[in-house]
Amino acid sequence: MLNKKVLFALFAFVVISSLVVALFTGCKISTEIATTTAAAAETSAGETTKAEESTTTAAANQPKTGGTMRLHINEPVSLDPPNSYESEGIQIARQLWDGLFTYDPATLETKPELCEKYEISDDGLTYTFYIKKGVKFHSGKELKAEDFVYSWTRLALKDTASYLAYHLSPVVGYDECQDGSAKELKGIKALDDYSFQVTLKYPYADFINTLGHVAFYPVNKESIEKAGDKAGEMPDGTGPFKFVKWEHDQYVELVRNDDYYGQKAYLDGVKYLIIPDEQTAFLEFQAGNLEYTDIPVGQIKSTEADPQWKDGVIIHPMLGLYYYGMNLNAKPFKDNLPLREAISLMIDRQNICDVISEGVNMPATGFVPPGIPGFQENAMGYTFDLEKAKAKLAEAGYPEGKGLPILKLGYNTGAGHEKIAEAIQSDAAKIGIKIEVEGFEWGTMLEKAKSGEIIFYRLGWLADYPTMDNFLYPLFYSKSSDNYSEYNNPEVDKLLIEARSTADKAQREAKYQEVEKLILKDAAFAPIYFYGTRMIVQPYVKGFYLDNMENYDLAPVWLDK
Amino acid sequence: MFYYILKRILQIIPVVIGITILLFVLMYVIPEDPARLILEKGATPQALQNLREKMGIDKPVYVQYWRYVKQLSKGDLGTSYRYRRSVNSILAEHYPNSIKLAFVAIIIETIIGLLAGIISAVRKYSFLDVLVTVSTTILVCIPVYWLGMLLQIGFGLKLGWLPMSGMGDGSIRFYILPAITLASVSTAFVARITRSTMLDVMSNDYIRTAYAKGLSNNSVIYKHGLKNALIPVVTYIGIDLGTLMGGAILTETIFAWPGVGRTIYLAILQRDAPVVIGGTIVLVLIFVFMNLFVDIIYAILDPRIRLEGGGNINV
Repeated sequence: MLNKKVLFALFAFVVISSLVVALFTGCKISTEIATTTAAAAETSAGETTKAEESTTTAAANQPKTGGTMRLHINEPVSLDPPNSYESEGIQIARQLWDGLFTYDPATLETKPELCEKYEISDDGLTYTFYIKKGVKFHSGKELKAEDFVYSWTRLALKDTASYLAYHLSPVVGYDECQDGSAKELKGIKALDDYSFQVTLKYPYADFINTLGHVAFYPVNKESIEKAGDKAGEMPDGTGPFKFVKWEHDQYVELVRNDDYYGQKAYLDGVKYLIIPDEQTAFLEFQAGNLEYTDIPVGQIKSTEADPQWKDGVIIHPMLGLYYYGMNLNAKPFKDNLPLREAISLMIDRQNICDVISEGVNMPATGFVPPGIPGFQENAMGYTFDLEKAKAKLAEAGYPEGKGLPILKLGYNTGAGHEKIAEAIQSDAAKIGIKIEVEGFEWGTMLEKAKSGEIIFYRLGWLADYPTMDNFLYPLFYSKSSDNYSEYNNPEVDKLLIEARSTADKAQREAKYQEVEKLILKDAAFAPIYFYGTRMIVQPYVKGFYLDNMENYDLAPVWLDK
Repeated sequence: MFYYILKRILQIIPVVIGITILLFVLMYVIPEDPARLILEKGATPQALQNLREKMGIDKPVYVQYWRYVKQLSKGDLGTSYRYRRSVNSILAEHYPNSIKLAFVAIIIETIIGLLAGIISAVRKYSFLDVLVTVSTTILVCIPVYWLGMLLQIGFGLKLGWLPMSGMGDGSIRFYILPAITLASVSTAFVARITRSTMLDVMSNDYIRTAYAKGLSNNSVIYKHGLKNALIPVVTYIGIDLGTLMGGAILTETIFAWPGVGRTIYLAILQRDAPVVIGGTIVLVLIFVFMNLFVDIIYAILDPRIRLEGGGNINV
């Protein structure tokens, strides 16, 4: 009897386990069928294009319609524009929406998208936008000026608590919306169905250039209200692709918008596969299951050398700066320009870029990276020079580092920053500066850098818009919340305000260039490198262009296979 | 037995209350501000304040806790700070995937582990025994992410037999590689535990008696030997099942498995307290029920073990 019991227990356990599994997988059957039929439809569509291909081989460079582009991504936070604050959500939102303006992928100059034309008042404070007629949200409703009023007001409101609200800070009434005293953004009003007016608090000549940001995308009030808590998962855009489905931590699926007002996309659909591990994604890419992914660090050189893949490698500078900040109100950095110069001079940037980042990043030559209109080559006078660094250190009152306290360098853990910190630590040792590296959690580090508890830290800045202002104003304007080094130079402040109100582009750029030179002269912090992209795309993907902000537009993309 | 089970289930209530208090205090004493963590740019005092209000962390901790308990009593686990979505739906999306994968892994480790353990115990010091010992030692030593990547490259990229990542359409093919990776270490443990307890049991007098009275080899091994050797194995598998259901960060990351382990792990890094606390509560419930299940199996396996309830009622 007992034996039977044992066997029964074992048997029961296995049976129950299998049953549970069967139950779970059973629940999947219905969706499975749905996906298989969809897949079948896809393949048959694919076959037809292949058949067409054979008849039209002569027109090999003619874009072909059809196919699905699969891109690697991490789980996005939200697809609701005011909350799409990280690269993943932004990538997808850019396919789902058209903005008032966008950036030319090659030059990063701002160009109108939903905007038909615009007028700026003489005092530079009032902007009137005329939007295109006949643009429809994916849900079918026509885009009107009031949608912009609703969207921008929503972005500014306290209740929305948007991560991106700050983009509206130049607009009249923004502060009242933020502190909750107003429910309407005073600075924006619809003139009629197709035009609206925005009033700024101060002249801000780059305002137009900020409007390509995802935060400014128009949302449909009805869809947002209908979605409620799920607004981040039910985007209703105006762009060339429509949202289909977001299976969390698995994929986000888009399909071509056949009602699109402009040139319709060639691709039938887009599938963003959510793969947290870059290495896994790269394997999937090599197996042909992805069209676009990151090249994992450590495999960049070998991929560039591989004849099968080298043509698809996309490595170029990005609009981002990696830097070592110093609190200018704390000893020993306070009022000690030679010390700050010595720190900048001692860093072997080329070595860091070549060895640690495999040539992807580019040694910084200033604060504003190449690709931004107005970029100045070799703006920074001090590059790697140990002898000069030693001399500056002596000038700073610490010959060979004598008397200089150990500098504690803060970095955020878990993102490979310690390698760079260690490289700089050993550079510093060569001239006698002792650096102790200390890892923090990201939020803790920001908080401590802000409060002045950490006075020497690594930070990065990625551009929101391709303007010089976006680097110089937030990081160095004395009252900016992103000015962690507490840089305060009245001359720079004055020039920044002047530049912002200069309507003429060339004159404005000249002013910003002057600002950059002034700050570099002050060695306000030590720029290390400009970020670079390390992406790869399959050779049969045509018309794909990744710009310096790591943005791309999938509408002109087609698959040559 | 009914009273026993009831008592065990009622015990869950103080456990859950304890867990929520503990986690609340822990998440609160960590100096990091979740608002600061998300708001990388434009973090003006006003913007931070708005975000804290949205997250509900602007109030003192006891107010937050009371509000949480009220929500919890309605079965509402709150809203994620980061994703601004209901924690209930986040967990409902991810837990089933981890549980499904855990069951497949448990089946693998039970079948392979038990068989290997029995074989190596019965054929002590034979070639097979040495093989099992060596391979289990290797399995325990191999880092999970390395094994996972090896399987991906071998069976996915080179041979192209199995999918390398994701759940795809949810068919069993997608389970194989992650389940093997997830089961690897436990399979080795099950084999080792089975072997040692089997050896222990097989040296008992009653086994000799069983052989003496002329029972077949199989009958002695499976009916007399294995039955008595199973208790520690069941304990291990039961606890392991609970652990695996809580998700496996590495396996889920490598295979892009949409499970709960990685979700909670990321939530910890991002100080997303509602997800951490909600996820932990569910995990605690799973553990309590798994333990109860294991205890019931004990009673079935070994009649000497009695599950005792409030009174002295025996099963």
